Amino acid sequence: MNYLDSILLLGISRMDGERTTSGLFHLFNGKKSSQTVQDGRLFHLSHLFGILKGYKFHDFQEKINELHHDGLIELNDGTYPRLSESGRIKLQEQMERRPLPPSLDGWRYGDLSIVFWRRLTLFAQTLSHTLHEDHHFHPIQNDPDTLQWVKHFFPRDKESRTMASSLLFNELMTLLQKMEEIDAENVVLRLTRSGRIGQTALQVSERLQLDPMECHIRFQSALHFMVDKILDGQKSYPVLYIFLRDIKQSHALTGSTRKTYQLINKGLQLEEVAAIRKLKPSTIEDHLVELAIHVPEMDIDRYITESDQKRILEVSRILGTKRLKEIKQALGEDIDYFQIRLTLAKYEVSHHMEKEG
Amino acid sequence: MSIDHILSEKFGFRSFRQGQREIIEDVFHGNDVFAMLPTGSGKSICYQLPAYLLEGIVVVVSPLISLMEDQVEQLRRQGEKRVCTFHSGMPYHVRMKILRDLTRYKILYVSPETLQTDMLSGTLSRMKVALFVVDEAHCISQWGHEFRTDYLKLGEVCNRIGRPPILALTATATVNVRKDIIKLLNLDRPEMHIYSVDRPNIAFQSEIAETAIEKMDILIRYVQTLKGPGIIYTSSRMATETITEVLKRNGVEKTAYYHGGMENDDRLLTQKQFIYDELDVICCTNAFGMGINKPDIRFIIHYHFPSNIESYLQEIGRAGRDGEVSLALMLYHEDDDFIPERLITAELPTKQDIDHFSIMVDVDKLDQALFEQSITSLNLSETAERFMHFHVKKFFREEKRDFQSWKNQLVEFIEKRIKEKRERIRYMKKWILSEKCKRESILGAFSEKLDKRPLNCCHVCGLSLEPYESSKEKSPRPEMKSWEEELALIFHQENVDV
Ligand SMILES: Nc1ncnc2c1ncn2[C@@H]1O[C@H](COP(=O)(O)OP(=O)(O)O)[C@@H](O)[C@H]1O
Ligand SMILES: [Mg+2]
Ligand SMILES: [Zn+2]
Repeated sequence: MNYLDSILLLGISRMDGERTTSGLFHLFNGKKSSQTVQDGRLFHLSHLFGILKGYKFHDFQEKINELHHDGLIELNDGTYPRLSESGRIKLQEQMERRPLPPSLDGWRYGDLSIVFWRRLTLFAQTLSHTLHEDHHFHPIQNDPDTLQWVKHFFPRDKESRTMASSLLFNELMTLLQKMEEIDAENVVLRLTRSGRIGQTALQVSERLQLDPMECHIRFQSALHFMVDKILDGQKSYPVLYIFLRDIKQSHALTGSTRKTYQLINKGLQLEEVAAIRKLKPSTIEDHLVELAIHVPEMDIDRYITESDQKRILEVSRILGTKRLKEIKQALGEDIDYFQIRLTLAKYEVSHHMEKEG
Repeated sequence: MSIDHILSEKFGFRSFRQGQREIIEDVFHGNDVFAMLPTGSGKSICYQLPAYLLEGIVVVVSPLISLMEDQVEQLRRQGEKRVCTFHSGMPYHVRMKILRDLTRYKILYVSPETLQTDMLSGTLSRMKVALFVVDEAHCISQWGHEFRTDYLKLGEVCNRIGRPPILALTATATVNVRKDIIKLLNLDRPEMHIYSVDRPNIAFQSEIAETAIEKMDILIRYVQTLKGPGIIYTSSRMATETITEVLKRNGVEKTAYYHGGMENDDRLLTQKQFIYDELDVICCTNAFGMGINKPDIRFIIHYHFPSNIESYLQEIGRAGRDGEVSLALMLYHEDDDFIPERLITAELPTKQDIDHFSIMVDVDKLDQALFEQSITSLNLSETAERFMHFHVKKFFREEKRDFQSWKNQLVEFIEKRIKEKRERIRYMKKWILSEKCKRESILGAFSEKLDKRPLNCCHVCGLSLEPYESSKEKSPRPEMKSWEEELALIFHQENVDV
């Protein structure tokens, strides 16, 4: 059993037959839809959000079939995966042997860490080469935004470059020393300097003798750890903070949702917002659910009475499910899907905060 | 300033290579020019150098965004900042900024599609365009007819922006393709600079294996003994990975694979490792190579053969750009035959697909949205899907739409294309199996005669492999330092205690 299998089992165990294979796939693949985002919260899988970015659905499906074939999962109605007894034992065993790195937080830091890493690798490479008086090197990133950013922030003269170099070194050293040895290596091996191009994911996993997926997840987790520490202690990492300063907010809401939020705050009704934005009301509903997840002060009483909210939560608890269809069936016609989603989203968040707070 | 002066000043070269001076002079005289020079011979200079002397901007049409960006990156590295690309992948505000400052640039790289937009062609029509360059001009003929109709409109755009002189550049164009290019671009009595596609410093070698296992053994033996760096071309992503594994296990440790399914970060790292000699061998699909500018590649091995001889010539043309001797090795086993066949049939929809399609759409209503949707449910390959979209769009542009005749024409067209492609595969295979001189017969495909046979020509004429072999053992991968030491090296803190 490899690492990827245990990650899949974990996802399946949390969703516990309440979502289809593609629901699980969207989450791992980091699809930015309200449904997926909400699922992440509901099933406590946000940390795995987008962890298999770029993975093809076809391959994913195949993996699920293999797990099924090996008797580790059952497929309810053909598409709702759920752990079998042996799957449950296997998962527990795996998680004891190779637990998920604790810093992993795909939802909060996934996108942020990608941009951070691109900037850092190119900045470090540029520093290393220019300090060696080599100005004709091949840049290790080709994304225009990253090139633009580094060009803008790169120090102009030698003195400030030397300065930046020593500051960055110290900040990175402090950060990396907080990690396990193997994770620090996982990060540093991938950096490029004058005289050595960074190692690819595969090369690093060979060097560190890790399963490629474990190596990948540990690397993600290391980046999330760094981003978290930098944002948390801006004063201790003033230079690295610059790499995140302009993007730190943008992850939480999708752009379209933010616009909807502005209009809702002006007191507009759902239908009015839809008309103004020339979007379907159902899209606006998706936005509202997303807002209920991310904006604690979001008030949902406008869309569903408090007593109905209580009913929904009650039914969900008694039936032991978060499956919309079953809840809806139990409640009857006067409550719609949107209201159920909204309530579950809101409740999950406050529940979460109570736990953390 | 003279052109010789600029050559050394701006490009750092002491002398022109074959053809460059003549082409540049014709460009200066304001003539239309058609130039065919082998890959790696230095065609870019033929417009980059004039850009320093001509008044106005040089517009270069290029087929791939990655190619444009590589060119710009290279010029910037040479210290030339007044170059840029303009394509749909760039953020809107960046494009607007470039448009505002367009007169400041000397060279502008564009795709045929973005050049069509009014935004860009309008701006260009209001300024002086010194030269209109079509790089990789064979794409006009190769792709224009099927997928990229904007290529067919280049002549028109050129008129709209003041009809500057045109320079068409290509490495591989048969006589028919040349005629096609001249017609489609509307070249006016062009000066023709046709140089041989022959690369005298590249020798040809083939091995025909009895079994698939033997083929792998032959590969291992060659890679172990040949002087690197080198490239191995295969037909599939899976094959690149398998072969890489096998080679690593057989002592060629500095091997990596490269294909289109990899993460962008890893693709870039692999490319750069190869460029900086940290890898001996790259095992790849044909996704690797375009725009890779490494002068000292010593061998190109085809583990699977490409689907036509022009592609083959392009791929082996990546070896020996520094002029030193290099080897092109073809490995063949009869099982390989079905691979290109499978590729070409996957590139186009089948008759059956078209039949399914006509059942799905409503022939009486002719709703374009429904048509386009139905394509997606056919489950076609990427190219086949693009092909369908293109033809559906074309259908809906027609004044009088007759579904049945459109369908028949389409099926006919597909059959014709497949036949052509099969013919080209057949030709490629004939070349592999032929017992005649490899060089002569490849030149024959381009209607050329061999002038002067190099000492090391091909295995038919007799070939000693010694010049291509290395006396040294393949080196292992370097040891890594501790991460602390590495970090210190990256940030120049070697002297600091860690
Ligand atoms: N006159 C010259 N002397 C030395 N090197 C040259 C000369 N002209 C071009 N080159 C080099 O040859 C390589 C290939 O040039 P390029 O224009 O990309 O080739 P092509 O477009 O014909 O394939 C480049 O590295 C370029 O710098
Ligand atoms: Mg070229
Ligand atoms: Zn010969």
